[in-house]
Amino acid sequence: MIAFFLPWIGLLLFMPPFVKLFDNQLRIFGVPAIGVFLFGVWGGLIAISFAVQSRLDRDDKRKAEENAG
Amino acid sequence: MISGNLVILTAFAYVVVLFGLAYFSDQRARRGRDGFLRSPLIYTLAISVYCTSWTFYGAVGSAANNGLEFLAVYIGPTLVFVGWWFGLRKLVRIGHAQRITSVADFISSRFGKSGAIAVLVTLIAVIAATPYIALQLKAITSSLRVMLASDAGSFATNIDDSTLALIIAAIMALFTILFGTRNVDANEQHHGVVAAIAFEAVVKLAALFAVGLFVVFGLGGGLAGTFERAAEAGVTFVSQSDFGGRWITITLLSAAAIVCLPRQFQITVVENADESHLRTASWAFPLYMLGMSIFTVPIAIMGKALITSGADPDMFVLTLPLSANQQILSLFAFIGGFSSATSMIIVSSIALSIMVSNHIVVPVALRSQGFNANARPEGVTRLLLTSRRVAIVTILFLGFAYFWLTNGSGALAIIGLISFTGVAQFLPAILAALFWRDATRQGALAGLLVGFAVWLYCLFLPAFAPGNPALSDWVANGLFGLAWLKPQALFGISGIDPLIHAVMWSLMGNSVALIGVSIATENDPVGRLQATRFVDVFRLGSSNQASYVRSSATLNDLFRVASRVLGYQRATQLFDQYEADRRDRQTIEPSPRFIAELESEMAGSIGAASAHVILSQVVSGDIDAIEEVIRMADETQQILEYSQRLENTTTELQSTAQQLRTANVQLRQLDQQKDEFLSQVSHEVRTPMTAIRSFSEILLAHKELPPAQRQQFVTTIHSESMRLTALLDEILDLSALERGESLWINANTDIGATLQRAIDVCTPIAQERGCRIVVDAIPHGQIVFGNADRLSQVFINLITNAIKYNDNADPFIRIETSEAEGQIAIDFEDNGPGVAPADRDIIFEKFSRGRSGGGTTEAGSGLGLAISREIIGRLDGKLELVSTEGSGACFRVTLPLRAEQQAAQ
Repeated sequence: MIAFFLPWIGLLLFMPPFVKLFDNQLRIFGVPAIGVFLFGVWGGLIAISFAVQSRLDRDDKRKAEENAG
Repeated sequence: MISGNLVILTAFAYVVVLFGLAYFSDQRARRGRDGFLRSPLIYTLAISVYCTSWTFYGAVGSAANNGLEFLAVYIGPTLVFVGWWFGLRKLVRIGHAQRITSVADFISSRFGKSGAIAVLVTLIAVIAATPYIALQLKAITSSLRVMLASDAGSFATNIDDSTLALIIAAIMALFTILFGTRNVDANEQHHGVVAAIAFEAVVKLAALFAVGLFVVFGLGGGLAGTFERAAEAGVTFVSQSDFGGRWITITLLSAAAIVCLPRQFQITVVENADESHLRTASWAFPLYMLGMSIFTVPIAIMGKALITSGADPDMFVLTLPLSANQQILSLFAFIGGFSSATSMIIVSSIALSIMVSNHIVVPVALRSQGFNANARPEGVTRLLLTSRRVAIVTILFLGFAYFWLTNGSGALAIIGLISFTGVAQFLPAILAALFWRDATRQGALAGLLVGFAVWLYCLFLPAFAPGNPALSDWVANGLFGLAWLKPQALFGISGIDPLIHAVMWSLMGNSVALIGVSIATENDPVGRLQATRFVDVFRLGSSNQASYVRSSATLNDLFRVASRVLGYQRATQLFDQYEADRRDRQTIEPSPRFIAELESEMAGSIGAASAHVILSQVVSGDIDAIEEVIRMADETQQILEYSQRLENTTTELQSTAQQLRTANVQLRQLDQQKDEFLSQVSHEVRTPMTAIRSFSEILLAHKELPPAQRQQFVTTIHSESMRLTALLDEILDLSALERGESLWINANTDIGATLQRAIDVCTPIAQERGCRIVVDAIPHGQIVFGNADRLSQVFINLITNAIKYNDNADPFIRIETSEAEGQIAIDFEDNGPGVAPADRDIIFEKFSRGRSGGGTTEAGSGLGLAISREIIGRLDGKLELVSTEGSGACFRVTLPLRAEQQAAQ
């Protein structure tokens, strides 16, 4: 389910109307907000993708065990 | 001070290490110990061949010039990989099922194994790769220049850029040939190359990280410090890129490139060992790209702040450590950049050479009679290897030519985007291949042609303009001086970025042509079969359907062909296996399944289109056969759909029938009840009627009867008539009640008074029978909503029943009232014979009497209880037979009390 929506959420956040919100002089720990935002969303996508993979792997393992048993 | 020779020596040593690694891995894989090589980690690292020297050097340059725009190049692939479930998974599944060898093979295989499409895709891929390879050559040349600038004694300082690039191209060609074309693999999987690429991926990441850490913490003083320096140096990253057209275009282009680039297709689809590796790559590859670009901005800032303005920003990764006199670090950085360039060149030229040999050289050779006459078993294998080697040299030379013709001008990122736009022309065809069943061969061909032409005209050729007066004039004024044909302002639409302009026109023309022509044309049988296999790959599973129904080919013919393509050993192995499998069968002709298997095995070596052509030469009549198969498949499909529709209809019909059956049962029951009622009524009416008729006959016949007897008979007739009338009245009453007609008006009624009146009415009858009526307590002031006459009718009926059927020596009736939860219950208890257990369920039915009440001549109509129950029911109350403890029956009337009455209490 999450895997289904992930690319679209990413696309939405990375595309103009959204990304422009952060294109200003604001700084977070001395780094421009736009940089923090882009890398943050990027990192978030990676993290969720990682979580999805772990769950799929676990499901596979369980299925394999069920088949074996 | 680094000696120039040391730099060159290091680069050579690195190449030797790579080659050793590849060789060692190949050996391991051949011995079957390829577990590590087939791990998802190696797979992911190999995919990062996407990060070339464009990423390593060019991203910094792009960041210095255009701000954060460089990130779009990584966001596109991130979205594609994070969304692997949609596209990549299907692509890889098809790749495995169809033994796909390259992107050209994929597209041509989907569109009817068309040779023309394969050739066109190969051509586009080769031409589009040229700027990309030139980019790598430029990067290596520039980085070598930078590294050697300090050492005037090195030989490389005395030669010009072009010669240096040519030398590099030659070395790269040699290296790639050694790497990639030592043998022809069954699946075009190159374990050695993949291992080397994975190693290079680690090296370039480590090098970039080392430089990044040094720049941020060694030179800039932490992240915040670095960004402060940016402000001082007058570099700002805010609002520098517009996050508009270019941002969207580059994201789209890079998303397309990660699938369409021949080298990415090679690694992601062809070299994929296990579909589940994609899951790991879905997060690990974006993570790798994030790592590769996290230091880009700080390096660009520090470069601008510290290095004189004339320097090439593309080379900041090298010049920053050099300017700080960090020689080991800069050497490491150089190797990192070298790594990213070589990995791209190797994989790219291997992938392209496979496409060239499979889709251009082999088909041409197959058409020449000389080749067919040549029966050497190793013929095709040798041809493949030779053509691939020639192709590699040609491709690298083309790259060099591009570099030379454009005088090495243009930043790395700009050159790369020209390439991306070229390969993005495959995207509409690939998407159609995956998801659109009705896309046809002609449609794909038209789309590719249009897209390719527009790209060539609008983006590829204008890149040569700076060094060529004729081209410059053409770019400025349009072809033949026609303004609407200006390559960067087609049809007078000007003022857009040339990149957006080219992408828009080429992809739009491409898609429109693909869709339009596909709608106008129809797939041939092979095309339809392949369309189903591609679009429905998940539904069909990976089983290969037999596409040859009957064949006139002998095993000998097949063996001759197979051994030429696959090599003698592999062919022998296949045929031996087949012989072993079919020993029990009595056929001499090869089975269709075996021929299909053979074709897919050969497709693994020379591509689907060529394999199909080769086998078709031997297996005659196969086209007819395929058409037959398709027709059968179509019919089967139609029958399947029809039967599915039928099944749905059947289910509906079944449920309707079930409902009808239930309704029928209910109707039957009602009908039976009606019949029973009628027969009971007739029976009840018949008894008094018989009496009346017989007595009146006696009276008519015997005129001389004594007056007393006559009087008695007339009285009987009268009383029977009365009974009949009463019965008919009750029947009418009951049927009116059952129809739900309200024959009375309800009002607030004092239940106690009503009960008392009923008791008063019954007292004479009771006295007559010697029956006592015991009343515990008559409630006062309890109000129910009902009709007093009707209620007393019920009470009288209950009391008289109790009196009538009571055969006890000392008969009595006890009437009790109780009250609970807004209900009043009145019990009528007697000490009579009670109701037999068998009668308890039917006692409230019409015409059922407590027959056990023997000893009494009094016969009721049998409708009293039924009517009473109807009345009480219509007053929202209940009439029930509660218990018959020992002897006697007890009827209980329960009625709801008025709410306002309760509230008043």
